[in-house]
Amino acid sequence: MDLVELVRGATVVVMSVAWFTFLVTWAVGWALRGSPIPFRSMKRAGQSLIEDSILAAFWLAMGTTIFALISYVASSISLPMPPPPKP
Amino acid sequence: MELLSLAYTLSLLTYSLGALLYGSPIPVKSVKKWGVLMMYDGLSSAVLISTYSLLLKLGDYLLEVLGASWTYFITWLTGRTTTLVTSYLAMQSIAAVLKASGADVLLEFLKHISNLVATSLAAIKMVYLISIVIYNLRDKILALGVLLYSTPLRIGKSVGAAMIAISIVYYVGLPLMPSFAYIFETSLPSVITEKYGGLDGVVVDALGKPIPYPVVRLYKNSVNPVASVVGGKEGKFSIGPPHSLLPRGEVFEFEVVFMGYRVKPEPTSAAVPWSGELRLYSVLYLGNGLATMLVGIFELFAPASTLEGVEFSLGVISSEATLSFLKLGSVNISEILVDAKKADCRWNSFSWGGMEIEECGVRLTAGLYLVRVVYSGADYPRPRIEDKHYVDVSDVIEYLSIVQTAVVSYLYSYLILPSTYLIILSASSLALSKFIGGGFRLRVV
Repeated sequence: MDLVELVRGATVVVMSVAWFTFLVTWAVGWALRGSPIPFRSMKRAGQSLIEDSILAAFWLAMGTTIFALISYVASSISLPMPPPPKP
Repeated sequence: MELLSLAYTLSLLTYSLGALLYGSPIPVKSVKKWGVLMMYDGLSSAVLISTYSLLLKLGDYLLEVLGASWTYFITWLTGRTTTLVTSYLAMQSIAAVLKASGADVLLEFLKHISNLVATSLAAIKMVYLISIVIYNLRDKILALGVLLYSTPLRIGKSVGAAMIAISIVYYVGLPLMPSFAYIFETSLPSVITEKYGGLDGVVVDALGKPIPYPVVRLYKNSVNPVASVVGGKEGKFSIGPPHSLLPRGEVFEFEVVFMGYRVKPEPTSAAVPWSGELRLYSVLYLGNGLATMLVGIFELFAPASTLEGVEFSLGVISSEATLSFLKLGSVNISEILVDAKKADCRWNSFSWGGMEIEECGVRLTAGLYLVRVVYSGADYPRPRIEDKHYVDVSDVIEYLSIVQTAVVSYLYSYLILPSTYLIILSASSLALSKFIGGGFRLRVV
Protein backbone atom coordinates (compact mmCIF):
# COMPACT_ATOMS: atom_id res chain seq x y z
CA MET A 1 0.00 0.00 0.00
CA ASP A 2 1.20 3.48 -0.81
CA LEU A 3 2.50 5.39 2.20
CA VAL A 4 0.73 8.59 1.21
CA GLU A 5 -2.56 6.70 0.85
CA LEU A 6 -2.01 5.08 4.24
CA VAL A 7 -1.44 8.43 5.94
CA ARG A 8 -4.44 9.92 4.11
CA GLY A 9 -6.64 7.03 5.29
CA ALA A 10 -5.35 7.49 8.84
CA THR A 11 -6.19 11.19 8.63
CA VAL A 12 -9.75 10.43 7.52
CA VAL A 13 -10.15 7.95 10.40
CA VAL A 14 -8.71 10.45 12.89
CA MET A 15 -11.05 13.17 11.59
CA SER A 16 -14.16 11.04 11.94
CA VAL A 17 -13.05 9.97 15.41
CA ALA A 18 -12.49 13.65 16.22
CA TRP A 19 -16.04 14.52 15.10
CA PHE A 20 -17.39 11.73 17.26
CA THR A 21 -15.30 12.88 20.25
CA PHE A 22 -16.57 16.41 19.73
CA LEU A 23 -20.14 15.15 20.06
CA VAL A 24 -19.23 13.10 23.13
CA THR A 25 -17.41 16.02 24.76
CA TRP A 26 -20.25 18.37 23.97
CA ALA A 27 -22.77 15.97 25.49
CA VAL A 28 -20.58 15.30 28.52
CA GLY A 29 -20.08 19.02 28.97
CA TRP A 30 -23.82 19.74 28.94
CA ALA A 31 -24.48 16.76 31.18
CA LEU A 32 -21.98 18.05 33.73
CA ARG A 33 -23.31 21.57 33.48
CA GLY A 34 -26.91 20.59 33.80
CA SER A 35 -26.46 17.91 36.44
CA PRO A 36 -28.20 18.44 39.78
CA ILE A 37 -24.93 18.29 41.69
CA PRO A 38 -24.33 21.61 43.44
CA PHE A 39 -20.51 21.74 42.91
CA ARG A 40 -19.29 24.88 41.17
CA SER A 41 -16.04 23.32 39.97
CA MET A 42 -17.95 20.56 38.22
CA LYS A 43 -20.19 23.09 36.48
CA ARG A 44 -17.09 25.02 35.41
CA ALA A 45 -15.45 21.89 34.05
CA GLY A 46 -18.60 21.18 32.06
CA GLN A 47 -18.57 24.75 30.72
CA SER A 48 -14.92 24.51 29.61
CA LEU A 49 -15.55 21.12 27.99
CA ILE A 50 -18.36 22.65 25.93
CA GLU A 51 -16.16 25.60 24.91
CA ASP A 52 -13.20 23.39 23.98
CA SER A 53 -15.34 21.00 22.01
CA ILE A 54 -16.92 23.83 20.02
CA LEU A 55 -13.53 25.45 19.33
CA ALA A 56 -12.06 22.08 18.30
CA ALA A 57 -15.02 21.46 16.01
CA PHE A 58 -14.57 24.90 14.51
CA TRP A 59 -10.85 24.36 13.80
CA LEU A 60 -11.54 20.85 12.53
CA ALA A 61 -14.11 22.21 10.11
CA MET A 62 -11.81 25.05 9.10
CA GLY A 63 -8.79 22.72 8.77
CA THR A 64 -8.96 21.97 5.05
CA THR A 65 -9.88 25.59 4.37
CA ILE A 66 -6.84 26.85 6.29
CA PHE A 67 -4.55 24.40 4.51
CA ALA A 68 -5.94 25.47 1.15
CA LEU A 69 -5.49 29.12 2.14
CA ILE A 70 -1.84 28.49 3.13
CA SER A 71 -1.14 26.77 -0.21
CA TYR A 72 -2.84 29.59 -2.08
CA VAL A 73 -0.92 32.36 -0.28
CA ALA A 74 2.41 30.51 -0.60
CA SER A 75 1.91 29.84 -4.29
CA SER A 76 0.93 33.46 -4.93
CA ILE A 77 4.08 34.80 -3.21
CA SER A 78 6.35 32.34 -4.94
CA LEU A 79 5.94 34.25 -8.18
CA PRO A 80 9.24 35.38 -9.79
CA MET A 81 11.24 37.59 -7.47
CA PRO A 82 12.11 41.18 -8.31
CA PRO A 83 15.73 41.73 -9.41
CA PRO A 84 18.18 42.51 -6.59
CA PRO A 85 18.70 46.17 -5.78
CA LYS A 86 21.78 47.78 -7.34
CA PRO A 87 24.10 49.44 -4.83
CA MET B 1 7.37 15.22 -5.44
CA GLU B 2 6.61 12.11 -3.43
CA LEU B 3 8.28 13.36 -0.24
CA LEU B 4 6.36 16.62 -0.26
CA SER B 5 2.94 15.03 -0.75
CA LEU B 6 3.75 12.62 2.08
CA ALA B 7 4.78 15.57 4.23
CA TYR B 8 1.54 17.38 3.33
CA THR B 9 -0.68 14.46 4.35
CA LEU B 10 1.40 14.05 7.52
CA SER B 11 0.86 17.67 8.45
CA LEU B 12 -2.87 17.24 7.87
CA LEU B 13 -2.77 14.18 10.12
CA THR B 14 -0.90 16.13 12.80
CA TYR B 15 -3.50 18.88 12.59
CA SER B 16 -6.45 16.53 12.94
CA LEU B 17 -4.75 14.64 15.79
CA GLY B 18 -4.34 18.02 17.50
CA ALA B 19 -8.02 18.79 16.98
CA LEU B 20 -8.91 15.34 18.34
CA LEU B 21 -6.86 15.92 21.51
CA TYR B 22 -8.22 19.43 21.89
CA GLY B 23 -11.81 18.28 21.62
CA SER B 24 -11.43 15.16 23.74
CA PRO B 25 -13.58 14.92 26.90
CA ILE B 26 -10.50 14.64 29.15
CA PRO B 27 -10.45 17.65 31.45
CA VAL B 28 -6.61 17.61 31.78
CA LYS B 29 -4.85 20.84 30.81
CA SER B 30 -1.69 19.24 29.42
CA VAL B 31 -3.67 17.15 26.95
CA LYS B 32 -5.45 20.27 25.67
CA LYS B 33 -2.08 22.04 25.44
CA TRP B 34 -0.68 19.20 23.36
CA GLY B 35 -3.70 19.42 21.11
CA VAL B 36 -3.12 23.11 20.43
CA LEU B 37 0.60 22.52 19.94
CA MET B 38 -0.06 19.80 17.38
CA MET B 39 -2.52 21.95 15.48
CA TYR B 40 0.09 24.68 15.37
CA ASP B 41 2.74 22.17 14.20
CA GLY B 42 0.49 20.96 11.42
CA LEU B 43 -0.10 24.48 10.21
CA SER B 44 3.56 25.53 10.40
CA SER B 45 4.72 22.46 8.51
CA ALA B 46 2.01 23.14 5.91
CA VAL B 47 3.48 26.63 5.52
CA LEU B 48 6.96 25.15 5.04
CA ILE B 49 5.73 22.59 2.50
CA SER B 50 3.91 25.24 0.51
CA THR B 51 6.95 27.50 0.50
CA TYR B 52 9.29 24.69 -0.57
CA SER B 53 9.95 26.13 -4.01
CA LEU B 54 10.06 29.61 -2.50
CA LEU B 55 12.81 28.48 -0.10
CA LEU B 56 14.79 27.06 -3.00
CA LYS B 57 14.40 30.30 -4.92
CA LEU B 58 15.25 32.31 -1.81
CA GLY B 59 18.74 30.76 -1.74
CA ASP B 60 19.39 31.75 -5.34
CA TYR B 61 17.99 35.22 -4.75
CA LEU B 62 20.21 35.79 -1.70
CA LEU B 63 23.24 34.61 -3.65
CA GLU B 64 22.38 37.03 -6.43
CA VAL B 65 21.96 39.90 -3.97
CA LEU B 66 25.28 39.08 -2.29
CA GLY B 67 27.07 38.76 -5.61
CA ALA B 68 28.38 35.26 -4.97
CA SER B 69 28.15 32.31 -7.32
CA TRP B 70 28.74 28.61 -7.06
CA THR B 71 30.72 28.49 -10.30
CA TYR B 72 33.24 30.97 -8.92
CA PHE B 73 33.38 29.10 -5.61
CA ILE B 74 34.08 25.75 -7.28
CA THR B 75 36.77 27.40 -9.45
CA TRP B 76 38.29 28.93 -6.32
CA LEU B 77 38.31 25.56 -4.54
CA THR B 78 39.83 23.81 -7.55
CA GLY B 79 42.51 26.50 -7.80
CA ARG B 80 43.44 26.06 -4.13
CA THR B 81 43.50 22.29 -4.48
CA THR B 82 45.78 22.58 -7.50
CA THR B 83 48.17 24.89 -5.61
CA LEU B 84 48.34 22.47 -2.72
CA VAL B 85 48.80 19.41 -4.92
CA THR B 86 51.54 21.19 -6.87
CA SER B 87 53.41 22.15 -3.75
CA TYR B 88 52.96 18.69 -2.30
CA LEU B 89 54.38 17.10 -5.44
CA ALA B 90 57.19 19.67 -5.51
CA MET B 91 58.05 18.77 -1.93
CA GLN B 92 58.02 15.08 -2.74
CA SER B 93 60.40 15.67 -5.62
CA ILE B 94 62.69 17.79 -3.47
CA ALA B 95 62.70 14.97 -0.95
CA ALA B 96 63.70 12.59 -3.74
CA VAL B 97 66.46 14.96 -4.84
CA LEU B 98 67.73 15.36 -1.28
CA LYS B 99 67.75 11.61 -0.83
CA ALA B 100 69.64 11.12 -4.08
CA SER B 101 72.12 13.90 -3.36
CA GLY B 102 72.86 12.63 0.13
CA ALA B 103 71.54 15.65 2.02
CA ASP B 104 69.36 13.38 4.16
CA VAL B 105 69.61 15.70 7.17
CA LEU B 106 67.05 18.02 5.64
CA LEU B 107 64.64 15.17 4.92
CA GLU B 108 63.07 15.15 8.40
CA PHE B 109 62.36 18.83 8.14
CA LEU B 110 60.83 18.38 4.72
CA LYS B 111 58.74 15.47 5.93
CA HIS B 112 57.25 17.69 8.61
CA ILE B 113 56.45 20.40 6.07
CA SER B 114 54.84 17.99 3.65
CA ASN B 115 52.72 16.60 6.49
CA LEU B 116 51.37 20.10 7.02
CA VAL B 117 50.61 20.39 3.32
CA ALA B 118 48.85 17.02 3.37
CA THR B 119 46.73 18.18 6.30
CA SER B 120 45.73 21.36 4.46
CA LEU B 121 44.94 19.29 1.40
CA ALA B 122 42.70 16.99 3.43
CA ALA B 123 40.92 20.03 4.91
CA ILE B 124 40.27 21.61 1.54
CA LYS B 125 39.09 18.26 0.17
CA MET B 126 36.64 18.07 3.06
CA VAL B 127 35.25 21.51 2.21
CA TYR B 128 35.02 20.36 -1.40
CA LEU B 129 33.06 17.27 -0.39
CA ILE B 130 30.65 19.24 1.79
CA SER B 131 30.05 21.81 -0.90
CA ILE B 132 29.45 19.18 -3.59
CA VAL B 133 26.94 17.43 -1.31
CA ILE B 134 25.13 20.70 -0.53
CA TYR B 135 25.14 21.86 -4.14
CA ASN B 136 23.82 18.62 -5.60
CA LEU B 137 21.49 17.47 -2.85
CA ARG B 138 20.16 20.66 -1.28
CA ASP B 139 16.62 20.22 -2.68
CA LYS B 140 16.53 16.65 -1.41
CA ILE B 141 17.90 17.70 1.98
CA LEU B 142 15.25 20.43 2.15
CA ALA B 143 12.44 18.02 1.19
CA LEU B 144 13.63 15.45 3.71
CA GLY B 145 13.89 18.17 6.36
CA VAL B 146 10.32 19.27 5.63
CA LEU B 147 9.13 15.66 5.82
CA LEU B 148 10.82 15.08 9.17
CA TYR B 149 9.51 18.42 10.35
CA SER B 150 5.91 17.44 9.65
CA THR B 151 5.96 14.10 11.45
CA PRO B 152 3.30 14.03 14.18
CA LEU B 153 4.14 14.32 17.90
CA ARG B 154 7.32 16.37 17.13
CA ILE B 155 9.35 13.19 16.54
CA GLY B 156 11.65 14.62 13.87
CA LYS B 157 10.91 18.28 14.27
CA SER B 158 14.32 19.47 15.48
CA VAL B 159 16.22 17.26 13.02
CA GLY B 160 13.99 18.46 10.19
CA ALA B 161 14.46 22.08 11.20
CA ALA B 162 18.25 21.57 11.28
CA MET B 163 18.19 20.04 7.80
CA ILE B 164 16.08 22.88 6.42
CA ALA B 165 18.41 25.43 8.02
CA ILE B 166 21.54 23.67 6.70
CA SER B 167 20.18 23.50 3.17
CA ILE B 168 19.52 27.25 3.20
CA VAL B 169 22.51 28.56 5.19
CA TYR B 170 25.16 26.35 3.59
CA TYR B 171 23.80 26.97 0.11
CA VAL B 172 24.06 30.71 0.59
CA GLY B 173 27.08 30.69 2.90
CA LEU B 174 29.56 28.41 1.16
CA PRO B 175 29.96 30.53 -2.02
CA LEU B 176 30.78 33.48 0.25
CA MET B 177 33.84 31.64 1.56
CA PRO B 178 36.24 33.13 -1.04
CA SER B 179 35.36 36.67 0.05
CA PHE B 180 35.70 35.66 3.70
CA ALA B 181 39.06 34.04 3.03
CA TYR B 182 40.16 36.97 0.88
CA ILE B 183 39.94 39.35 3.84
CA PHE B 184 42.17 37.22 6.05
CA GLU B 185 44.32 35.36 3.55
CA THR B 186 48.01 36.20 3.35
CA SER B 187 49.55 36.30 -0.09
CA LEU B 188 50.98 32.94 -1.01
CA PRO B 189 54.53 32.77 -2.30
CA SER B 190 54.80 30.55 -5.32
CA VAL B 191 56.79 27.53 -4.41
CA ILE B 192 59.04 26.25 -7.12
CA THR B 193 58.62 28.07 -10.39
CA GLU B 194 60.17 31.33 -9.22
CA LYS B 195 63.58 30.23 -8.07
CA TYR B 196 64.31 27.18 -10.13
CA GLY B 197 64.14 26.29 -13.75
CA GLY B 198 65.21 23.58 -16.11
CA LEU B 199 67.17 22.90 -19.23
CA ASP B 200 65.38 20.79 -21.74
CA GLY B 201 65.53 20.15 -25.42
CA VAL B 202 66.40 17.67 -28.07
CA VAL B 203 69.80 16.48 -29.28
CA VAL B 204 70.15 16.34 -33.07
CA ASP B 205 72.97 15.46 -35.45
CA ALA B 206 74.58 17.71 -38.07
CA LEU B 207 71.57 17.44 -40.36
CA GLY B 208 68.93 17.88 -37.63
CA LYS B 209 68.03 14.21 -37.17
CA PRO B 210 67.33 13.30 -33.51
CA ILE B 211 69.98 11.16 -31.85
CA PRO B 212 68.70 8.25 -29.73
CA TYR B 213 69.61 8.10 -26.04
CA PRO B 214 72.16 10.91 -25.96
CA VAL B 215 73.97 11.42 -22.65
CA VAL B 216 73.77 15.13 -21.85
CA ARG B 217 76.23 16.41 -19.28
CA LEU B 218 76.38 19.78 -17.58
CA TYR B 219 79.56 21.50 -16.44
CA LYS B 220 80.03 24.52 -14.26
CA ASN B 221 83.70 25.56 -14.50
CA SER B 222 84.63 22.07 -13.46
CA VAL B 223 86.47 19.06 -14.79
CA ASN B 224 83.78 16.62 -13.75
CA PRO B 225 80.20 17.05 -14.86
CA VAL B 226 77.81 18.40 -12.21
CA ALA B 227 74.80 16.73 -13.79
CA SER B 228 74.26 14.04 -16.37
CA VAL B 229 71.10 12.57 -17.88
CA VAL B 230 70.33 10.05 -20.57
CA GLY B 231 67.87 11.40 -23.13
CA GLY B 232 64.99 9.58 -24.70
CA LYS B 233 64.74 7.54 -27.87
CA GLU B 234 63.85 10.65 -29.86
CA GLY B 235 66.76 12.59 -28.39
CA LYS B 236 64.70 14.51 -25.87
CA PHE B 237 66.26 15.35 -22.53
CA SER B 238 65.24 17.35 -19.49
CA ILE B 239 67.35 18.49 -16.57
CA GLY B 240 65.51 20.36 -13.83
CA PRO B 241 62.66 19.94 -11.40
CA PRO B 242 61.66 17.50 -10.07
CA HIS B 243 65.03 15.71 -10.18
CA SER B 244 67.48 18.59 -10.26
CA LEU B 245 67.31 22.05 -8.79
CA LEU B 246 69.02 24.47 -11.15
CA PRO B 247 68.97 28.09 -9.93
CA ARG B 248 67.56 30.54 -12.45
CA GLY B 249 70.09 32.63 -14.32
CA GLU B 250 72.97 30.20 -13.69
CA VAL B 251 75.00 29.33 -16.80
CA PHE B 252 75.89 25.69 -17.51
CA GLU B 253 78.08 24.25 -20.26
CA PHE B 254 76.81 21.33 -22.30
CA GLU B 255 78.53 18.18 -23.43
CA VAL B 256 76.93 15.27 -25.21
CA VAL B 257 78.29 11.75 -25.13
CA PHE B 258 77.15 9.50 -27.93
CA MET B 259 78.51 6.02 -28.65
CA GLY B 260 81.40 6.72 -26.35
CA TYR B 261 82.37 9.99 -28.04
CA ARG B 262 82.32 13.25 -26.13
CA VAL B 263 81.04 16.02 -28.38
CA LYS B 264 80.60 19.75 -27.80
CA PRO B 265 77.15 20.70 -29.04
CA GLU B 266 75.94 23.99 -30.42
CA PRO B 267 75.07 26.05 -28.31
CA THR B 268 77.90 25.18 -25.95
CA SER B 269 76.27 26.73 -22.89
CA ALA B 270 72.94 28.11 -21.73
CA ALA B 271 71.46 30.02 -18.79
CA VAL B 272 68.61 28.47 -16.81
CA PRO B 273 65.82 28.27 -17.90
CA TRP B 274 66.47 27.17 -21.45
CA SER B 275 64.83 24.95 -23.96
CA GLY B 276 65.91 24.30 -27.51
CA GLU B 277 68.00 22.13 -29.76
CA LEU B 278 71.51 20.86 -29.09
CA ARG B 279 73.13 20.25 -32.47
CA LEU B 280 76.15 18.03 -32.87
CA TYR B 281 77.88 19.31 -36.01
CA SER B 282 80.44 16.53 -36.04
CA VAL B 283 78.00 13.62 -35.84
CA LEU B 284 75.95 12.12 -38.62
CA TYR B 285 73.59 9.44 -37.37
CA LEU B 286 72.82 6.98 -40.13
CA GLY B 287 70.29 4.96 -38.14
CA ASN B 288 70.08 1.42 -36.78
CA GLY B 289 73.16 1.62 -34.60
CA LEU B 290 75.49 3.18 -37.18
CA ALA B 291 76.92 6.70 -36.96
CA THR B 292 79.81 8.65 -38.40
CA MET B 293 82.06 11.13 -36.64
CA LEU B 294 83.40 13.89 -38.82
CA VAL B 295 86.80 15.26 -37.91
CA GLY B 296 87.66 18.19 -40.17
CA ILE B 297 85.61 20.65 -42.20
CA PHE B 298 82.82 19.06 -44.19
CA GLU B 299 79.91 19.92 -46.35
CA LEU B 300 77.13 17.38 -45.92
CA PHE B 301 74.23 16.30 -48.06
CA ALA B 302 71.24 14.41 -46.75
CA PRO B 303 71.76 10.65 -46.67
CA ALA B 304 69.42 8.41 -48.60
CA SER B 305 68.49 4.95 -47.41
CA THR B 306 68.83 2.21 -49.98
CA LEU B 307 67.62 -1.35 -49.89
CA GLU B 308 70.77 -2.75 -48.33
CA GLY B 309 72.18 0.30 -46.55
CA VAL B 310 72.68 4.02 -46.77
CA GLU B 311 74.23 6.41 -49.27
CA PHE B 312 75.36 10.00 -48.78
CA SER B 313 77.60 12.54 -50.40
CA LEU B 314 79.97 14.83 -48.61
CA GLY B 315 82.48 17.46 -49.55
CA VAL B 316 85.73 17.78 -47.64
CA ILE B 317 86.75 21.42 -47.43
CA SER B 318 89.79 21.15 -45.16
CA SER B 319 92.92 19.72 -46.70
CA GLU B 320 92.69 16.60 -44.57
CA ALA B 321 89.81 14.99 -42.71
CA THR B 322 88.82 11.76 -41.04
CA LEU B 323 85.51 10.05 -41.42
CA SER B 324 85.07 7.68 -38.48
CA PHE B 325 82.43 4.98 -38.59
CA LEU B 326 80.95 3.93 -35.28
CA LYS B 327 78.78 0.87 -35.01
CA LEU B 328 77.33 -1.39 -32.40
CA GLY B 329 78.95 -4.79 -32.10
CA SER B 330 75.75 -6.40 -33.37
CA VAL B 331 75.65 -4.30 -36.55
CA ASN B 332 76.99 -6.16 -39.55
CA ILE B 333 78.74 -4.09 -42.20
CA SER B 334 79.36 -5.89 -45.48
CA GLU B 335 81.21 -3.08 -47.19
CA ILE B 336 81.99 0.62 -47.12
CA LEU B 337 82.40 2.16 -50.56
CA VAL B 338 83.91 5.64 -50.95
CA ASP B 339 83.47 6.74 -54.57
CA ALA B 340 82.73 3.10 -55.46
CA LYS B 341 86.07 2.00 -54.02
CA LYS B 342 86.19 -0.28 -51.06
CA ALA B 343 87.48 1.71 -48.08
CA ASP B 344 90.35 0.32 -46.10
CA CYS B 345 88.84 0.04 -42.65
CA ARG B 346 90.25 -1.66 -39.62
CA TRP B 347 87.77 -2.02 -36.78
CA ASN B 348 88.81 -1.35 -33.22
CA SER B 349 86.34 -2.22 -30.53
CA PHE B 350 85.75 -0.72 -27.12
CA SER B 351 82.95 -0.90 -24.63
CA TRP B 352 80.92 2.01 -23.29
CA GLY B 353 77.70 2.21 -21.27
CA GLY B 354 77.27 -1.55 -21.29
CA MET B 355 77.50 -1.92 -25.07
CA GLU B 356 80.18 -3.06 -27.46
CA ILE B 357 81.11 -0.41 -29.99
CA GLU B 358 83.44 -0.73 -32.95
CA GLU B 359 85.05 2.09 -34.83
CA CYS B 360 87.17 2.59 -37.88
CA GLY B 361 88.52 5.75 -39.50
CA VAL B 362 88.74 6.58 -43.19
CA ARG B 363 91.19 9.33 -44.12
CA LEU B 364 90.05 11.73 -46.81
CA THR B 365 91.60 14.68 -48.58
CA ALA B 366 89.81 17.72 -49.99
CA GLY B 367 87.18 16.85 -52.58
CA LEU B 368 83.66 15.57 -53.13
CA TYR B 369 82.85 11.98 -52.19
CA LEU B 370 79.96 9.59 -52.50
CA VAL B 371 79.89 7.19 -49.55
CA ARG B 372 77.89 4.02 -49.59
CA VAL B 373 77.57 1.69 -46.63
CA VAL B 374 76.00 -1.73 -46.99
CA TYR B 375 74.95 -3.04 -43.60
CA SER B 376 72.29 -4.75 -41.59
CA GLY B 377 71.38 -2.65 -38.57
CA ALA B 378 70.31 -3.28 -34.99
CA ASP B 379 68.32 -1.34 -32.45
CA TYR B 380 70.35 1.18 -30.51
CA PRO B 381 69.90 0.34 -26.82
CA ARG B 382 69.77 2.75 -23.91
CA PRO B 383 73.29 3.06 -22.49
CA ARG B 384 73.60 1.83 -18.95
CA ILE B 385 74.69 5.10 -17.40
CA GLU B 386 73.28 6.41 -14.17
CA ASP B 387 71.71 9.85 -14.08
CA LYS B 388 73.41 12.40 -11.91
CA HIS B 389 71.28 15.20 -10.51
CA TYR B 390 72.32 18.68 -9.55
CA VAL B 391 71.14 20.23 -6.33
CA ASP B 392 72.32 23.61 -5.20
CA VAL B 393 72.46 22.88 -1.46
CA SER B 394 73.00 26.45 -0.28
CA ASP B 395 69.90 27.39 -2.23
CA VAL B 396 67.99 24.40 -0.89
CA ILE B 397 68.22 25.64 2.69
CA GLU B 398 67.00 29.06 1.63
CA TYR B 399 64.33 27.38 -0.44
CA LEU B 400 63.19 25.24 2.48
CA SER B 401 62.73 28.29 4.66
CA ILE B 402 60.61 29.88 1.92
CA VAL B 403 58.62 26.66 1.69
CA GLN B 404 58.13 26.59 5.42
CA THR B 405 56.69 30.11 5.45
CA ALA B 406 54.46 29.23 2.52
CA VAL B 407 53.23 26.06 4.16
CA VAL B 408 52.38 27.76 7.42
CA SER B 409 50.31 30.27 5.48
CA TYR B 410 48.72 27.38 3.57
CA LEU B 411 47.76 25.78 6.85
CA TYR B 412 46.26 29.05 7.98
CA SER B 413 44.32 29.77 4.81
CA TYR B 414 43.21 26.25 3.96
CA LEU B 415 42.69 24.61 7.32
CA ILE B 416 42.00 27.24 9.94
CA LEU B 417 40.06 29.76 7.83
CA PRO B 418 37.67 27.25 6.19
CA SER B 419 37.14 25.47 9.51
CA THR B 420 36.32 28.76 11.21
CA TYR B 421 33.96 29.60 8.41
CA LEU B 422 32.25 26.22 8.62
CA ILE B 423 31.84 26.70 12.35
CA ILE B 424 30.25 30.11 11.71
CA LEU B 425 27.91 28.53 9.15
CA SER B 426 26.99 25.74 11.57
CA ALA B 427 26.22 28.28 14.29
CA SER B 428 24.03 30.23 11.85
CA SER B 429 22.26 27.02 10.83
CA LEU B 430 21.64 26.20 14.48
CA ALA B 431 20.18 29.65 15.07
CA LEU B 432 17.93 29.36 12.01
CA SER B 433 16.82 25.85 12.97
CA LYS B 434 15.90 27.14 16.42
CA PHE B 435 13.84 29.83 14.72
CA ILE B 436 12.08 27.28 12.53
CA GLY B 437 11.81 24.49 15.02
CA GLY B 438 10.98 25.86 18.41
CA GLY B 439 12.60 29.09 19.46
CA PHE B 440 9.77 31.09 18.01
CA ARG B 441 6.17 29.99 18.51
CA LEU B 442 3.04 31.45 17.04
CA ARG B 443 -0.04 30.97 19.16
CA VAL B 444 -2.86 29.87 16.90
CA VAL B 445 -5.43 29.44 19.61
